[in-house]
Amino acid sequence: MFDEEYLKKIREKKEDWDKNFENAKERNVKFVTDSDIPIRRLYTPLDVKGDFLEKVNFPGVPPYTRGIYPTMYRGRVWTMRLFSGHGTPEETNKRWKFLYENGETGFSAAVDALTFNGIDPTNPDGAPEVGTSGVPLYCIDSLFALTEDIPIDKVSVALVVEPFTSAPVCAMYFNMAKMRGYDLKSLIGTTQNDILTMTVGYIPYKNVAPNHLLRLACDFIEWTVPMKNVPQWHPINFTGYNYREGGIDAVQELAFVFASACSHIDNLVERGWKAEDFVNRLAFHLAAHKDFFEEIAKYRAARRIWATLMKDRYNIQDPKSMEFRFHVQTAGSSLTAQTPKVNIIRTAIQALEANLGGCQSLHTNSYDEAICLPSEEAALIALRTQQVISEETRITNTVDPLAGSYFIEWLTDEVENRVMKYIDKIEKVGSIDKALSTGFLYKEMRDAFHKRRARIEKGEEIFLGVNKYPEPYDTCTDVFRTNESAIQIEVDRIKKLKARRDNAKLENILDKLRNMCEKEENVMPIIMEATKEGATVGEICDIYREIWGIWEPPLAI
Amino acid sequence: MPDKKIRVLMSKPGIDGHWRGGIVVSRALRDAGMELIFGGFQNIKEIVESAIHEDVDVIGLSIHSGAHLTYTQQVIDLLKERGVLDDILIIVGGVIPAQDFPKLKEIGVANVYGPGSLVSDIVEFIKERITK
Amino acid sequence: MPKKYDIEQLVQKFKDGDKIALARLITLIENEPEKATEVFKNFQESNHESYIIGITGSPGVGKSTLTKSITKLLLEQGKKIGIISVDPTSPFSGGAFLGDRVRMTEISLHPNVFIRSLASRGYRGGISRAVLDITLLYEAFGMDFIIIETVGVGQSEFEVYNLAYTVIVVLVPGYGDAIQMQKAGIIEIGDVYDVNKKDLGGEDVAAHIDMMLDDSSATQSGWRPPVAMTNSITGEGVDELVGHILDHKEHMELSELIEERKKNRFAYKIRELLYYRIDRILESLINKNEIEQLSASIIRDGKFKIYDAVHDIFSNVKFEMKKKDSD
Repeated sequence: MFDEEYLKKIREKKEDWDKNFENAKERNVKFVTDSDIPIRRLYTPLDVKGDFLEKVNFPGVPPYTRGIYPTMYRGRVWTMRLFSGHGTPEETNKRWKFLYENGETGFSAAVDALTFNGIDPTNPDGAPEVGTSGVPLYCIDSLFALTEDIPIDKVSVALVVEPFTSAPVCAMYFNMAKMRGYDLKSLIGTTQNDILTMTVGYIPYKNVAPNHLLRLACDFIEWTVPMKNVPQWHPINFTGYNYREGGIDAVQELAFVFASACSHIDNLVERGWKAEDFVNRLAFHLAAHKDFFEEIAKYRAARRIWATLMKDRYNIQDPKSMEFRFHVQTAGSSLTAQTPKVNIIRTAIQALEANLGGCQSLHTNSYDEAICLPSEEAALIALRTQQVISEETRITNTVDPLAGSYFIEWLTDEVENRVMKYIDKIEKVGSIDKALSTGFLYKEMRDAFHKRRARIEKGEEIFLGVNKYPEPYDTCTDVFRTNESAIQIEVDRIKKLKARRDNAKLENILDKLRNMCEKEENVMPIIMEATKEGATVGEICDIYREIWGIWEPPLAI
Repeated sequence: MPDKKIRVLMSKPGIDGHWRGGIVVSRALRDAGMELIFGGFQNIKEIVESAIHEDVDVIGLSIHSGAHLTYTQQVIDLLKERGVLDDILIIVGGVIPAQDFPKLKEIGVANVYGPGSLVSDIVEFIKERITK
Repeated sequence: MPKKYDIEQLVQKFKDGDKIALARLITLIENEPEKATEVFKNFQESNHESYIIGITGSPGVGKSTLTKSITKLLLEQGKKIGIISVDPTSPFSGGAFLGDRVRMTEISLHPNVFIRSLASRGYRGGISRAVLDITLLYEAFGMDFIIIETVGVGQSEFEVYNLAYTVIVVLVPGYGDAIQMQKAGIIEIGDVYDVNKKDLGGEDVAAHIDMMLDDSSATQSGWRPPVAMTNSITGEGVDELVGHILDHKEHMELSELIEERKKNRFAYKIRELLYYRIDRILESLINKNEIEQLSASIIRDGKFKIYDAVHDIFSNVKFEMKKKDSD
């Protein structure tokens, strides 16, 4: 990127400088990134390799290193989308409205463990968890309650459900929208629908095997976008964030999401679609972790890798289909239950990484999240954190302000190279469902976790309040408790629904679903019908279990 | 020459999929020479029945769902009903607010471990209570 | 506080079918083998016989899930089943991670099933010393079938052969298992072979085993080991597998080959009990400090003196043993 002659001169001067300051004192710590990339004392033009127009270029054009829009935040500030979901759909609706009044610009519904796993509240094994870790969405009535008075064609809604339950929950949402008089073609929003979240991010409870989950995820993508039923919807959000939280590093995070995304594209191409038919609706959800510069380099590298993959692997011509769109969440695993107010500072710095890295949408964690779901007060501070950045700091004045930093450009290259190598490693095992069922990804997750733990125990990774300046745990914050009567409310909701629906008709439809599952045909049309007739999430998922069996994930300790 | 090992059942009551904490503690207990029976997801009856079949000295409940008070109470009630409560040490770990520690101890939990707990403390506690 | 057990009381409850008592008698015998005499004398009049099935195969082939599926079918036929799942004890810490039970949750509440996880506790070959004792307790408890599930690493496949009347070897597609087994001679020990995870393919593994069986001496007893294919997640093929097991059982009983296996089972136990006692005598004769000192001196003076050092110790041991004999 620099003139050869001039570089020669710099090299000479640099050698002098190195010699002169060879013995300058440095602290006795390892200077590495969170992903263990060794970092040198200084970066200069000598470290920036390659052609500017090829690698960095301008925003809004491939390879999009600097951002997917030409004006970025000068045109439109990122969407401020906080995860919400607790107690009951009504309470979550109330929280949405509270945040909306305070400036939130996108909604998100994190579901409870029962909705995640396709279990109805009438099942005593899971009943105590109704609404404790998200919003319960077990039947179509819940979706009406969730979105009451919300203009769902103006504000985008993110439904945080995974392939096992994305079809029934989203079908309920789409049916509700239709009944409210919306055209499905006008709906905007995202379904997480991420196979890895429910398999390596958490351990699934009575789900089906990865090959079936991959198929369900692709059924949903196929029905919404290329079949044009809900064309503006983002049918999948590859959620590197969730597995990053399990201990993997930034390089692995990107490699996991790209390997997974490619498996989905391959699956749909096998079904006869062209990649152009849908790839511009694929979305991503990344973490903003503790290593400030590495995370910024990660976002820049991610855009470049995606554009390259689309062009080289899928032979895509339209630049629009090479854009890497992503939501960011600040790192929950960087928060501490000890001295929770320090979490506000951590979150603010991580949010800044996401904005300097050019995210489309951002979730900032609430300071009490290491111990409970966010209280209203804590959620408001999280939202204000984003607003301080967008309204007060003026960082939105220009696009990709860190480009051209010798260090940032070097680190972007470094992350890119490492990610490409790691994608190869995963793909050697096979498609993403194989990487799961063989246990490969579980071993990678385990190894990463134990490596991180060892680092924390040795004090190489610091958690203030825990392994440095430790504070007793019992000084923690007020605890936000979810509604204890949620179980009864939800059981009653389902009872009412079951009393009014036509059970014979529904049985008939569910039989057709059994058939679709066996025949490997797209399940969405029949699930649209079933949920409209009042089928619950648990009833649909029980059919999956019946036909495909319950999968036990590999146990990597 | 008795070849006595401490036997521990590690279980996740309910359906919440945050397994990492339970697995980390399981590993640490194994590395401390204990026999760790990993129960994974279990309902209350399954926890108690496993504890009986395996004749464990300790039950560890790993709970991250916020439903710790309900689940723990249910486990203790059933152990009592089966007449084995006095023979088994119960410890609870996970995302448990410090405010709930006294309540859990009151209903019969030997010790509670919240976020940031050291596994070495858990090992020491169990050894101390089982062998002395 | 360590638990205390009252044998007389436990035996009484055991005879009433109390699972708590069964569990505690297992613990007792596992921890203190000396107590076995005292426990077993209470069952001398019992002549109930259980049929013992062994399931073995490499880690990760789905043995536990398969054990669950087989048990489910046998339970449906009204049988009482006792399961023993053996996992290795870590040679470094002496601890063990017993992760088989997690695959059997579905059957764990059935009144006719009892599941016990066992650590090998550093026992030679990898099968817990207590396995045979537990099979005896299960027989006294009135089990119809006993299933011993053990990781097939090193010698334990062969040990399960000495304990069970029907041995099932489980393989999965794509792990080069077939070739490995040929090397290890496993093809000699299975009475039934099962290729699990058939959704990942497996026809060629099955064909490969069939071929090896044709070439081997496995059919000498008049039984040609069948090769089943299962998917233990969906339960596909498990019917057929259980069919093969029951066929083999019938073959064993009709041909009286079962008497051979029973002889094996007890001869094996007697041998093991003798080894155990001899081991203990040897252990008491070997001085750990002395070994460490010698090892240090060899490192200092030259590793090629190792045989001389062993020779010296051994003459001492012999001397000590003679002394013990004359006591």
